[in-house]
Amino acid sequence: MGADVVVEALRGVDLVIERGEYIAVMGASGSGKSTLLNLMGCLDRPTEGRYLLGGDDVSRLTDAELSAVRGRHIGFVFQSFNLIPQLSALDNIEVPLFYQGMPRHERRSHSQELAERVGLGDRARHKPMELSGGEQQRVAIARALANDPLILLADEPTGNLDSKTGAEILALFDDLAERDRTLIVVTHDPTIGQRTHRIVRMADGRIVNGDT
Amino acid sequence: MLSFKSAEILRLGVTSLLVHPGRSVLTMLGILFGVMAVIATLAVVEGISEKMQEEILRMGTTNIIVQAVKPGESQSTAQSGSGGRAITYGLTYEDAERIQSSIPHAEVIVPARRISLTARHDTRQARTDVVGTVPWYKETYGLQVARGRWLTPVDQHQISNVCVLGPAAADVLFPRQECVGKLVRLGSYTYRVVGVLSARGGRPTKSATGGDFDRIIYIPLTAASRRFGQTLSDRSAGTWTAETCELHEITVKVPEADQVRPARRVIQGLLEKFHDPKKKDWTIQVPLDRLDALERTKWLFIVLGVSIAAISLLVGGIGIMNIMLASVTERTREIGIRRAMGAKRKDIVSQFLVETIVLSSLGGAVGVPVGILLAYGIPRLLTKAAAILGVGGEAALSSLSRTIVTPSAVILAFGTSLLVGVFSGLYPAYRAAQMDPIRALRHE
Repeated sequence: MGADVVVEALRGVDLVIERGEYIAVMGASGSGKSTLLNLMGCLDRPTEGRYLLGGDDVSRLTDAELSAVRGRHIGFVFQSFNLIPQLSALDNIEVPLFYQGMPRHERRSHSQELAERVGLGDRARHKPMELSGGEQQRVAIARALANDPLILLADEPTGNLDSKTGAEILALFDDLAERDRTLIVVTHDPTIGQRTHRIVRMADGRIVNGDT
Repeated sequence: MLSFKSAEILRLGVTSLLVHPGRSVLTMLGILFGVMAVIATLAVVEGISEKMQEEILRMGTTNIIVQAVKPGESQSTAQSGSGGRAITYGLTYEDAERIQSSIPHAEVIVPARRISLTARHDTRQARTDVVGTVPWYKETYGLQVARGRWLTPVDQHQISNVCVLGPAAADVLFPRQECVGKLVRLGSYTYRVVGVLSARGGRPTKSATGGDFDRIIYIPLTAASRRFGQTLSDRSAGTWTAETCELHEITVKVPEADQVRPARRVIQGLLEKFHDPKKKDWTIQVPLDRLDALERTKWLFIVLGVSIAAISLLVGGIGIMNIMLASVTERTREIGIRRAMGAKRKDIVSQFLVETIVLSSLGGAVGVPVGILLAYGIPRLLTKAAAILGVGGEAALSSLSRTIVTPSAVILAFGTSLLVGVFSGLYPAYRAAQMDPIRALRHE
């Protein structure tokens, strides 16, 4: 991914996502879906155009402000789980809370609650290495939910899981969608697309269809 | 916000360091040795300097010591006959009188006449310095009488053949027996022992006059002039030398230390005026000046020693930086995750800085007691090493016989280790914070 050459990854993308929507972003590699995800996740800033998140323009914020927005409003779920190996599952869930300045004892009760909710049970005290892929992804989802974010962004959440475990994770997503979470899932997998409210198809940095 | 977090960040740092305990300990060692070296070096310097200071103080800071110097060969005054010569040099009673009248506030002027002799008692004999002196010499030099008495004005007037022994002289001549009242032969004269002095310190001390204080035998000045005369002849290998030296030493004691330097100038002026400028047969020693010189020398040694010790701290710091750079690379993905979860750049900076500070301060905290132990063990270690190697160097050993750890040395060493921690952590922490979160997340 060379940064030396200016690549126009996205062009004329005009997308409105309502609160509580469950959306799949689909498209071939290089279609711009990762870039869109990075923008929506406030990991990157658009060179042009605007991004309104919960009504606030976040496209011209400083690095520190963007970090704060990510911490407060965005939950990430990655294909490769991205847990911190030296921390236990509970500690991993607490990472976003830590940066919000929540005191330790509050964090602990909160993370235990979240671990219960994603069905980790007594596995929550283990380190990521000691957990199965499905369990790791549950930890990641619990972590993404920790700050009660405006949107939850998932990048190929079942990509590293077998189909049975993948289905369990997707069931968890369905459950979240029913509770009015705003979910955006980037995926190749058409079966995921079928479960969502709406599919955004991308090709060459454009949205080719925005309807259901 | 930051103060709330500091305890948390500290916990986080310790957790991360415990992931690689072996690596962390090895990294700490560099700092540990550095701190240890700084403390030990400073302790040695402090010990030597205090020892020297004590010796100088023993000479008296309000004293000015004027000594006779035997002129060198080229300055020989008179040649007489083949291979024989007579020399007249040194201080005179007139000098003493002049000094006394020029500096009326000077407390005491003590003439001392010194003769090297062999003292005998029965079959025992000892090479000693016989010092002819006046009754108040004891107060001026702070001599302590252990048994018997010191020389009195009566001894002085009657030109009595009495003597007071230094403790070492007494031990050699009268091993395990009372010596007061006994007789000692000094040259061809017999003296009655009237007193013995207390030892002046733990080891033989060099007095201002260059001899061992504890080996001196004191007799009345009048007796010294009468019995030993003012001329000393020495015959060896067919040549003869006659030395004439009226006084070997005059000590001028002023009431206050700030009067030492003016008095010194007066004395110097007098001696320059009345002594042959081509034949410099006197010197003036001012213990106070030596004290100042010592202070400067001490600083030189401190700077030198600490610089050398600081090199190991520097190496330790480079070690920390190296490990932290590796750690930052290793944990790129963790950095990306934390950034995605809301960590600001300054959070990442403080996370890594805390780790280096914990490493270096732990190294410092362990290094301080180890350094103190080493510092106090140095005299013993050196004595053992010298015994094993069979090397003497008693003077060098005895000057290292004491080491002193001062609180400021500990603070300096520990503070430096903290600074090293901060500085060696800054660059790795900056590198970590500058990472692009998107790339960091993708890092394998």
